Amino acid sequence: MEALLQYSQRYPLEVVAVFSVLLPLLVFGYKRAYAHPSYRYLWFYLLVKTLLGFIMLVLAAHTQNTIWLYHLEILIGFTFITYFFSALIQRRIARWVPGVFLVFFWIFTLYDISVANPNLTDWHNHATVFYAHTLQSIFISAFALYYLYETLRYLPTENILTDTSFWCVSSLLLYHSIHVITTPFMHYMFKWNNRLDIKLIILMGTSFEIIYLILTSIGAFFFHNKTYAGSR
Amino acid sequence: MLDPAKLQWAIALAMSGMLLMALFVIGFVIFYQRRQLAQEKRVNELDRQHQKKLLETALSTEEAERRRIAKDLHDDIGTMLSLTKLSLNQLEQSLGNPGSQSQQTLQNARSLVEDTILNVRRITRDLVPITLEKFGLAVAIEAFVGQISQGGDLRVYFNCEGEEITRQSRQIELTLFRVMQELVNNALKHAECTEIEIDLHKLNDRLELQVTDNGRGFDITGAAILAKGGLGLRSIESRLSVVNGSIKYETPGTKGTRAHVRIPIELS
Repeated sequence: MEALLQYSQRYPLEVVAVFSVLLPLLVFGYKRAYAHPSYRYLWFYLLVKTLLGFIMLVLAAHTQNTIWLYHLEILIGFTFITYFFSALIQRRIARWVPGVFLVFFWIFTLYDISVANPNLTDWHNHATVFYAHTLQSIFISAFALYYLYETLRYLPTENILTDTSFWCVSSLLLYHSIHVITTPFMHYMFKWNNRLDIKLIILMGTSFEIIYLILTSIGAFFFHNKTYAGSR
Repeated sequence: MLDPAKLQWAIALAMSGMLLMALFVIGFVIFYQRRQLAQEKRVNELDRQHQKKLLETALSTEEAERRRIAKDLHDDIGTMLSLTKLSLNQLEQSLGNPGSQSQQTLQNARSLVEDTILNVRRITRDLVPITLEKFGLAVAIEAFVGQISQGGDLRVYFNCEGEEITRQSRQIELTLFRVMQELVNNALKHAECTEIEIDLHKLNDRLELQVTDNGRGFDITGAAILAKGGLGLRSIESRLSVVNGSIKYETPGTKGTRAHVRIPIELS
């Protein structure tokens, strides 16, 4: 407990970001979005993110390497996000595309992990991937842009500002668009030795994560299970 | 180690990218709302066209039904009444005792049959205005005015002097005639008037009909007409909407009602 408190004092924004995931998770849970064919994936993604976030927080407070959990979060998170977009997309042919990307992403990420960590058994010095997170951000941004294109084409809702999917997809787009630039530095930043200390990048990343979670919560607030017509 | 200049450039790029995305999302919302509005407008227009088509069909069906009824009345009922009258004439001749009770009863019966024949002819004429189809609007209105002003204290005037009312499409002529009929009937039923004036004018791009009475008038505000206006007034509005016409009510002077109807026509 003391270690956690000390960690919170040293890295308050990171701790806030971990607890911020609870906001959309609880709102979606209250609205029973987990019963919806599209939003259940997003809800499970938030659940996994919360669990892994708390585990990483505890381990980090005890000065243990949490990068492997970070990699796990990338893989599982992208899987759920891909299923989420597959369920949202209207065109039948286009629904298969995220699935193809998912298979490629898993292969690439596992390869990237092995390249960044020649000695996989060395958990203490386990390093962040070079490109997988950037690739994840590019893919998610592409899915989001395609979904927004479909929304503009089919005009599914009268008031876009009360549409849950708009808020969730836009928040993902905003969050991952910045990660395209910032994530390549993470391999050099998150290591025990010769680390690159760029506080601004961590500040930007964490701040935008909090903003992204708040925007997702707004989308969750507008969710109505019975009358929702934003997806099939 | 990374070059600080490159790092700063990368951070600036990230911030710009983020700002661009935020502006993109805002622009998306604005664009979406505009498209949504345009779509709604299109749907409303389609709906309006569809309603107009339905109304046109309903009115056509109504006219076709009127023709059928008029034909049945004329061919069946009218013929039978004429035969009945003939039979009564023959019976009168065969009785041969003028002034007797039977003769009197027979003459009453014949008179009733004659009145019925006249009523059937009038109903047939009202159902299908043959004069309108053959001779046009002005002549049809004149004939109508002649019928309703027979006897009684009611004075009905029709003004169309010096105007050449060229033939228009069947739909326009029939609409204007029916509207005139309805307005005059309303005046006769409800206005308690002694005078009705019908004016028909043709301007370059429209026909104008005015029906004025000196009766007790009615509340001519739009809301009152919609709320209390009977089937007749709504029927007028419906018929006019099909030909893009309009109607306006006003009070001429201190009493009475004037209905001003306008129907656009093709430029001559």
